Amino acid sequence: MVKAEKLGHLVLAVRDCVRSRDFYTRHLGLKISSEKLERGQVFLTLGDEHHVLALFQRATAEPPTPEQPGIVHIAFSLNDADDLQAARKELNEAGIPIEADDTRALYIRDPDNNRVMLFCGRSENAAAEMTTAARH
Amino acid sequence: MVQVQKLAHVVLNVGNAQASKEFYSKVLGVQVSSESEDGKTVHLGLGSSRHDLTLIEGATGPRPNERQPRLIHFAWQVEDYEALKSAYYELKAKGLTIKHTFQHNVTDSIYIEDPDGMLVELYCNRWDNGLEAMQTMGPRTDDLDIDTRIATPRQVR
Repeated sequence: MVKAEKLGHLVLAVRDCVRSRDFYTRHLGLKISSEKLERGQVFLTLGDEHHVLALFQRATAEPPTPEQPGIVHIAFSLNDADDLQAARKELNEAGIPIEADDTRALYIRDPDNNRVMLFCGRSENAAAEMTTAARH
Repeated sequence: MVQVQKLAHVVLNVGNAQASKEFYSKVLGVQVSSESEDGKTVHLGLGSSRHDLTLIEGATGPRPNERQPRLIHFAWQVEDYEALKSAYYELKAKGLTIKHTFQHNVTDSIYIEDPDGMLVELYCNRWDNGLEAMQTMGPRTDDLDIDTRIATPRQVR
C-alpha cells in the first residue's frame, strides 16, 4: 500500500514568475530557495524544506473559470489570531483586496487569481474549520 | 511583515469527489477525515492535522489547457527510496500510468494523474537538508531508472 507521509509542495503555472515571486515573498513571507529566471522558474520555501511552492512561467492565457477542475484555494497557516490581525492590516496597507474575511481566516488572490487562504487555529481543529471555509 | 508558518492544505475543484476520494485514499494512502452528507465535499489528511487536502465536487468544465495558469502538480513525500520504488510497481500493477520517473537534485520522483488529470508527484528526499542542496545545486530534471536509481539526461520525447 502506497503511504503518502506529507503534503510537500505545489507547482503552479504562472504568467509572470517575478510578479508571482514578489507576491509570495513580500506579502506572505516565503523565501527564495532557488530561482532560474532565464528558465522562468522560482522555488520558494518556509523553513528547511527545498521548496513548498514552485512557480513556473508557462501560462499566457486567462485563469481557469470556476467550472474547470483545479485549485479552489491554497492555505497557509499563521501562528495565532494576532498574526492574522497583523496580516489583515499589512495586506490592507499593501492594497491587496481581502475576500471573505472572518476571525479565523482571510482570503486573497495571487496575481494569477489563485485564491490563497491565511488562517490561524490549532492543527487538530483545522479540518473542522476548513469545512466552514470550503463553503465559500 | 506577514510570515506564514506552513503550507497547510490545498482545496481542489474536482469532477467527482467520490472518485477523487478513492484515488487519494486508496491509491496514495491519504486518510479520509470527514465528508459532507452528500459526499461532494471530502477532507483528507495525514498526521496530526488530518487535513492536507479537500475535494469539492464542482468541476463541470474542461481541464485547464497548457496556456492557462493552473496547478502543474502537487507532491506527496514518501518515507524513502524503497517506498518510492514499491509505490512505482504498486501503481503500475493497479493499471495506473506512470507519467514521469525523474531524479531531481533534491528528490527522486514519480508522477501520476488523478481522476481529473491533475499531475500528482510522489517523492523521497535525496538529502536530509533539502534546502541547502536546493540552494547550492538548484533544480535538475533527469530521467531516473527506478530499479538502479541511476539518472541519465532526460530524453526528449
